[in-house]
Amino acid sequence: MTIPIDYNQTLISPKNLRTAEAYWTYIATTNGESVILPDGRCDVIFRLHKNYPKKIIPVITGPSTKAYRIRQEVGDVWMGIRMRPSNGVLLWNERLEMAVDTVSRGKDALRLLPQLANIDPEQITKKNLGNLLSDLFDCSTINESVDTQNKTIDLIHTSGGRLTVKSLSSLVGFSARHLNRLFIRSVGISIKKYSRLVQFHRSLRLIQEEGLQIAEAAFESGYSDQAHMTRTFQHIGGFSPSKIPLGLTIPELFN
Amino acid sequence: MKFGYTIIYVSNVLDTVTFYESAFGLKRKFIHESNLYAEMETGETVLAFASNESAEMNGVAILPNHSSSLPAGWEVCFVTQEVEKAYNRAMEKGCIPVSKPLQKPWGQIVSYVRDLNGCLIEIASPVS
Repeated sequence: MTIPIDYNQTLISPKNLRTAEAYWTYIATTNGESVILPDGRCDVIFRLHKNYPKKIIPVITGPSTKAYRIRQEVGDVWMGIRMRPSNGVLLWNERLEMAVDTVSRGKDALRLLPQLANIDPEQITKKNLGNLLSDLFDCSTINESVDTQNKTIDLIHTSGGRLTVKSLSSLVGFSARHLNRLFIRSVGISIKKYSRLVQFHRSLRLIQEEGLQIAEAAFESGYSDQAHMTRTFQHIGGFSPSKIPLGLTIPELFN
Repeated sequence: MKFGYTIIYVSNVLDTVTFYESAFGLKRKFIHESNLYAEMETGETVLAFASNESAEMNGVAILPNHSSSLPAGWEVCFVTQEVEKAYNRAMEKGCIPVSKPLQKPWGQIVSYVRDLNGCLIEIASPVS
């Protein structure tokens, strides 16, 4: 098994054909804690401890809306796939809404997705990780409402999370209430919550990668003022815009 | 610095190129293999289309164009001697009517339509 050091991800394209959005690997290069940013999506993860390479712990996350920290030692490995937001329901079924910000490990994860037990850790490479894991899902349960959700999600991403539920619903052609209900059923969280995450990620990117000042980023990403952006950063990321943790990995969330 | 491109973000680049060919008689210059970007043959200043999703990849956020929305506050203007004919063709090919060809006090004939994505397009005669 050869995996590139640090965080690495591959987006799956074309997007219409995929159940998962990306597959990724992470090898810890420092001891201590890592911050995992929430992205409203579910992940299926294999965790390998450096000291017990034969023992693989399967992990399934619910849709995440808050940052959390993981403990790591140099050489620990995580490999996973990030589901498309609208496919969270494939993992959790009717329990999706209750799974928000929760994590199932080991036996609990196997109970959710028993097929995980069939994967031989020795066979995992970065190349076949995507296939191995996306073969696990029964895609026949994907219905036409997922198309609507994907359209809604595209619009949220294109507008940087700044469109209201009302505007989105008129663009997609449903009532706001109905659209939101469908959205929650397949993504697990409300349109508003998902939009806030997209807006957060964009503003973070504007500061980290596009070199904008905090006030400039707040304005460009549509926060009413800098205080509003600071509150959102605290709430979602657990840090303020002026104290972004070093070495933070910002996942590419192009839907 | 010179004015190089007008780039319109659309939900489907291919459909938009085909629409502009049939409704406005433009020709395609090139379509990127990803189907996320295309340019029309419009001389030195290029009219191009980029997919909505490429907006996010470019790090920009936009209000997506849509036929059911109020059009964004700007327009593209095509100039022709035969405004009536061009307007009728645009209507036949599926444009949304906004205002029929009318002669302005300064002699110019002006009409407006909206394209498949709801963008405002003016079809007018040259200002004499």
